[in-house]
Amino acid sequence: MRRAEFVREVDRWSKPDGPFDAALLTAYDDAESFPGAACAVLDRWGLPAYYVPAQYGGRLARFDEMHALLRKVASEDVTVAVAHGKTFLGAASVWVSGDDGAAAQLARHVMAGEAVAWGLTEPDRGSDLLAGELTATRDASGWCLSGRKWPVNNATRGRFVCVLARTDPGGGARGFSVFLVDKQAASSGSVRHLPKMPTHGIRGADISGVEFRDTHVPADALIGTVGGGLELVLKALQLTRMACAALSLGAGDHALRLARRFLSERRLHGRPFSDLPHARGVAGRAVARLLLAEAVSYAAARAAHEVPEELSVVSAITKALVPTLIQGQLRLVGELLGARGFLTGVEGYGGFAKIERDHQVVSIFDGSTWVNRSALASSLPILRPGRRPATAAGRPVHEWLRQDADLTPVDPLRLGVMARGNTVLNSLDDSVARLAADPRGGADHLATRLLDAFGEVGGDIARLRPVAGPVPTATMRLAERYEWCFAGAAALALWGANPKHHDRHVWREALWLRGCLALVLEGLGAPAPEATGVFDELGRLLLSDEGTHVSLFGTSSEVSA
Amino acid sequence: MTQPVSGPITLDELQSWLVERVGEYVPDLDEKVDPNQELGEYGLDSVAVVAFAADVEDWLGIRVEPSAVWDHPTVTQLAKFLLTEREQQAA
Ligand SMILES: Cc1cc2nc3c(=O)[nH]c(=O)nc-3n(C[C@H](O)[C@H](O)[C@H](O)COP(=O)(O)OP(=O)(O)OC[C@H]3O[C@@H](n4cnc5c(N)ncnc54)[C@H](O)[C@@H]3O)c2cc1C
Repeated sequence: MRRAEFVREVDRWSKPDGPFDAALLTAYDDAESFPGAACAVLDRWGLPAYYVPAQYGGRLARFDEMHALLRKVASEDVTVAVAHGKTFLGAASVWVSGDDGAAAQLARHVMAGEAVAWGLTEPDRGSDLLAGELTATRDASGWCLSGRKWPVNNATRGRFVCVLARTDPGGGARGFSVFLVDKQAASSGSVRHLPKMPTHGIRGADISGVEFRDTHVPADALIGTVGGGLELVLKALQLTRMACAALSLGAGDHALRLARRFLSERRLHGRPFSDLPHARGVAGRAVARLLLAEAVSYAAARAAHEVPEELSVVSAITKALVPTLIQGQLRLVGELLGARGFLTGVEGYGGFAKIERDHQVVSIFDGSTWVNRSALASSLPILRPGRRPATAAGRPVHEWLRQDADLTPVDPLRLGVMARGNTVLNSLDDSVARLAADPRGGADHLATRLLDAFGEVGGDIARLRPVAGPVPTATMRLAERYEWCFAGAAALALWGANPKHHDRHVWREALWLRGCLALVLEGLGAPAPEATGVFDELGRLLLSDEGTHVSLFGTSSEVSA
Repeated sequence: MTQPVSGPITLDELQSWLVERVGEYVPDLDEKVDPNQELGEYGLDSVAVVAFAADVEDWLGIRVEPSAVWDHPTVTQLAKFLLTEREQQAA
């Protein structure tokens, strides 16, 4: 209900002179100033409540719902989604810590519209969480922080900043702890802001930094245990990395809107541009990329409820693959738009370059594609087929991926740093068998190819000799193949779980599934010759009446949540 | 892959198995693995350690979190911890 209402509201705000008016947001971007009016209406509508778990009084009961809201915001403007959604990232460590007192207190602030920043990165330390030099030392009544976090989204605007600090001078896996700092409560002059950085994309966002100069914080600023920081951050990242996928999906939605419009109105050599088979094929690929990204994100969001023990792997796959899929989709749409994708002042299309610029950051922050892929690579030996069954069998995938399924409430205490299984991927056999029993449009042939390819990936994993130190290139490529297999398995599981949809538009003749599987097989280096026509079909779909909202489960406003 | 052990195991056996495993993870190492050296110094740091923890799981037939290696960062410390853990998880 609220979701449909939100979609209508955002559409209304996007009209001329509304806070989401594209012209206005472009002007903010040009001026590198913060899109404050757009964030303010989101606050008034109550979006921050969706960043707060229901058990602490918020409305976050289902990740798929929260992601859908964030996706909608991003589909209008990625900068606004990054600037506003960041509070979920900043607060996640507190939710995951299981510290009810701290969580209840922060919940009140978040719902009152206070922004929370997340400070992991430090100048010149890159992605290495254990390289941080910001230290926290005990003082008479709490802790004393000194050091810098930079670059950090909302570091200046956010009243709160959640930081990973070194609590053991020797560092190491037990040498760091998490602190939630209320900058307003700090003694004056002890917190200094580092200036906003000019950026290639999300130009209006507050990408700045914060410096603590012997800043005193009370004892209860410590979140979790002393030395528990790395573990806590690794768990919180599992939730935030999946939220990042929503930003990508929104950018992909926006790009498809432009592609559809261009295909329908552009004429070339006296004929509609869309008569060009190549143009339709490219558009169809862009559609398939978005739908595959959606399938992965959808399965991942639900996995957070049902198999949180596996989220270290599921979230790494999602964060590595989804932004990459969308980056590729944007490139395709850019090619399609030609000059209009490049000229920034063209009515209706001027925004494309901004989407592309804004989206680039998604595959950089919160762990880059490579950082996530290498984390997955380190876990591959554990995921080898035939390793003893990991966890007790829970609900079957085909049950919890059903669109109208009730989900198990999220339990952060079930998160871990080592996934012992991959329920979604392991459902591949079963999904393929289901499809074979009721084949549509030839999707079953593609599914069989995927099963073969996964067999090879499994064989390569079984032969993998884990080594200490940096991940070898061949293992990174193996991890990437594993990601593609996961994506294919997610798509097939969604298909098998939702027979009620099989006769609805993009599901007819298994159209979306065939497009997704064709992409997956290409990604695995085993393209299916029989699938070449599917992108043309998807391109036609984009041009049809059903192309206004390309999504697996219909337009968000149709969904009665 | 590693065959799981059944039945009792001594601290010494456990320790030499761990030393051997660490050696396999660091094929380029010239000297013998020092049981009192932190595993992180052999490159078995926070992330790389997950596969190692899984190996230990497979061999001992008990659940071992990677954080066990963080908390008991040398072979000597880890062996002691695992021995107690195995007795407790078997009980
Ligand atoms: C706009 C913006 C906003 C940001 N917001 C925040 C924020 O709010 N909070 C915060 O803490 N940080 C934030 N960051 C920092 C961001 O998370 C860092 O950029 C990130 O930690 C990586 O650092 P680096 O780019 O210096 O890369 P480096 O770590 O120096 O990496 C260099 C290259 O190596 C690759 N690489 C790194 N590690 C590995 C690995 N283990 N295996 C394989 N490849 C690897 C990277 O992908 C990259 O290509 C932000 C950055 C930007 C640009």
